[in-house]
Amino acid sequence: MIEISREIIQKASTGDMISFEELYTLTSSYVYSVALRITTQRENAEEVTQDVFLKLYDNLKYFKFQSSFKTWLYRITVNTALTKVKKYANDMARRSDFDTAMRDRGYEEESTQRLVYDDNKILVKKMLKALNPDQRSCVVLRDIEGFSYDEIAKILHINVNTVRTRLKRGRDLLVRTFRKGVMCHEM
Amino acid sequence: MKCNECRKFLAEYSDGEVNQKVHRTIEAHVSECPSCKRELELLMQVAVLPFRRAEREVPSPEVWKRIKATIASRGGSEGSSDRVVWLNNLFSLKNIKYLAVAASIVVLISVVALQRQITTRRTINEYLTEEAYFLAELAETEAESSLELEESDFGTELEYYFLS
Repeated sequence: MIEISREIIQKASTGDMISFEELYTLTSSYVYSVALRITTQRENAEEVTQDVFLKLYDNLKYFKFQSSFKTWLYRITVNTALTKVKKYANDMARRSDFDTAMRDRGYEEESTQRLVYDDNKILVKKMLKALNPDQRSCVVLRDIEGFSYDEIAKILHINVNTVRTRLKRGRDLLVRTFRKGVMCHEM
Repeated sequence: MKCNECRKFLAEYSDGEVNQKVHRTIEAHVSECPSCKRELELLMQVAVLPFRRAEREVPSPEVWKRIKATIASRGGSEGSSDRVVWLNNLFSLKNIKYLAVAASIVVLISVVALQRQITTRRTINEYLTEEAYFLAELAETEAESSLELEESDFGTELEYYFLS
């Protein structure tokens, strides 16, 4: 993420909508990308982005520049996205299997019509879905956003060894799944 | 370095998150061990590179419109949200000791004021009782003296003084 100037943050924190829109333009793709990768659903990612920027608008005046703005924004994004994933999972659990299947099928059809996914996009989406939300957050922050283990630990408020463990388990799972797939294919 | 030891650190090695000594050891092992080299390549191809190749996504323009509309609709309640924040700050743990002292002072002042009010009321009651007794006595004395005057046929004490 590019560095956001102190001036924009300070102006936006006073409720200045022009500065807030500038802040949105500079950071929304980062917020949305992380939200999309963690929730794996376009609609949910848009809702998360909306929630994150409303939280930002309300709380920017309390940001005292003691920590990095980038870390703060990623933390809000990841936490909001994880909450959404849990809520979505609970909502889905309440529905019948039939409803869920129809909805997922409908979403896939709709999204294929609306968006032209290239192979890597589909692959990334499938891989992310194979991971649990905690492993997913670490993989997204490490491999897509390019943060170091220490930075991920700060963003997620967890120990750096937990970051190592989550990344290792997540990657091992992906390699195992790939091997199993190849084996099934060969059989 | 043994293969299973090397494979434990492959993910961290690929991230550049091992110290220089471990990095050099793994590098040397991987260059000599075809099996570990394949393992590292598989890890990169299957679990790392697709993510690193992923492009940044952009939200639809509708998202900003919704954010802007929500902020605009809350325009009137901005003050009330500030009041809520102010109240939250007031009753925060940091301020609780000052609030406790202020509450104690208010209770103390109330008790003193109440006691003074009770004392004043008691004094007035005593005064009124004394006054009632005094008036009753006075009425009694007047009644007796007028009876005496009637009995002696003098109109007033002054007449009694000069004429007797």
